[in-house]
Amino acid sequence: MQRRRGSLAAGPLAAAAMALMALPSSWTQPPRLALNSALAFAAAPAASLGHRFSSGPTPSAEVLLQQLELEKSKNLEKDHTIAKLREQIDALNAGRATVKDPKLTFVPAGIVLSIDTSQWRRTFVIDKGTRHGIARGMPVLWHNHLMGFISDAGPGSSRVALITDPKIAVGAMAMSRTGEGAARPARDLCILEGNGSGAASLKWASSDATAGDGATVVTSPDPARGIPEGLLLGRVTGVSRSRGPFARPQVQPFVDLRGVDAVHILVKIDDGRQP
Amino acid sequence: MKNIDAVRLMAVAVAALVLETTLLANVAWAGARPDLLVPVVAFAALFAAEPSHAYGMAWAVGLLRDLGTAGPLGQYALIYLVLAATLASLRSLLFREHPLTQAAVGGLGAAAAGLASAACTAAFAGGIPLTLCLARTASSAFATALLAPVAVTLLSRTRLLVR
Repeated sequence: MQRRRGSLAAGPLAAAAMALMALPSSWTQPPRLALNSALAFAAAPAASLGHRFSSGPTPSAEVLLQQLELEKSKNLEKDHTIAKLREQIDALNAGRATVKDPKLTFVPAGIVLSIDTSQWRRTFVIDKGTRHGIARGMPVLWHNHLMGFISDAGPGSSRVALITDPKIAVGAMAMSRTGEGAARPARDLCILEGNGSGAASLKWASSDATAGDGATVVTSPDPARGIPEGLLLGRVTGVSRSRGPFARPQVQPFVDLRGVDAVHILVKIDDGRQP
Repeated sequence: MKNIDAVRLMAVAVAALVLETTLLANVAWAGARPDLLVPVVAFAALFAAEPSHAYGMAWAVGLLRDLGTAGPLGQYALIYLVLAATLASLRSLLFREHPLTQAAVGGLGAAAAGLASAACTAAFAGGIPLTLCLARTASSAFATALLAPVAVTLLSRTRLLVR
């Protein structure tokens, strides 16, 4: 009897779960993003403790003294604000050096939550949303590195899928080092595809391509998605070759999200209007 | 048998999720971290007076994880519900107070949840390499198996959770 009651209770719950799964993410993500922002605020002390745990072995006294000096300077709010603004300017300058199109502008955003609760997804939440002109599919940059794309936008916050997320695929090309040390692009264009790990891989790279170990991978131009040419994606760390005509180079992104607290969203200005 | 206090157990689940995504996220090995919500689901399934209470708890705990992911809403709610239903049906066969049982339940539960969520991600977002999927699921299951006896024992001995 108890078992029967139990199975009766499980049925509607399973149906409710499946009904929720069928809902479009544009409906379900905005309330989730709002809750995530609230959760991130509440969990900030635990997150900073986590960063301390992951800082590695105890540094030497000299390093500790340097850190002390750094911490002292950080306590001065004015210095901190100046440093933050300078960082934004550096990031903008670096981004603008690559993004030449005047119709593309940068919207700064802070990272609210840097982790996805599913271990198969690579996403983070930023503090800008549709109210700030952010829309799904916009590229997200850190300096001149492509971090990922807006996957869902709520009114005041958005979720960004990193280039290592399984949902992301972006046109890419590998820049190999020549004997003289100069970089030259490989002729064949590939697709950089995330796979849920900390790295991504290049799809449709021909076996005789020049994308060897250490090659730098950059974006290929994609005007339809607003992606300019030459944004840094990562470095080739190994190539798996099979019998087929295509190699599968593994790409390690240059940027570790744990060291980033602000990004820029690349927004296209239409008809001279600011986003 | 006493009823589990659902509100307090949900508070424990929130704390476990915060712990998992903050402290444990930075000490994760090869991108895998223990699934701290599986021991909560296992506790509910093994110790609740009525199976329906365990199902409700598992569903709500799953929905909690769904709130923080880019995946479809309801994915983890369904996975944890199936996990709770399986455990509840096996309850008469399990010696639930034994740490080895709790470790096995935690490890197998985390493995099942990991594989199911990987399949769901592959279906909704994009493919995950099989080797990565198996390696990460195995290390996550191992870490969860180590933590599950501690978590379940603590939960079962906390008087605040029963009424």
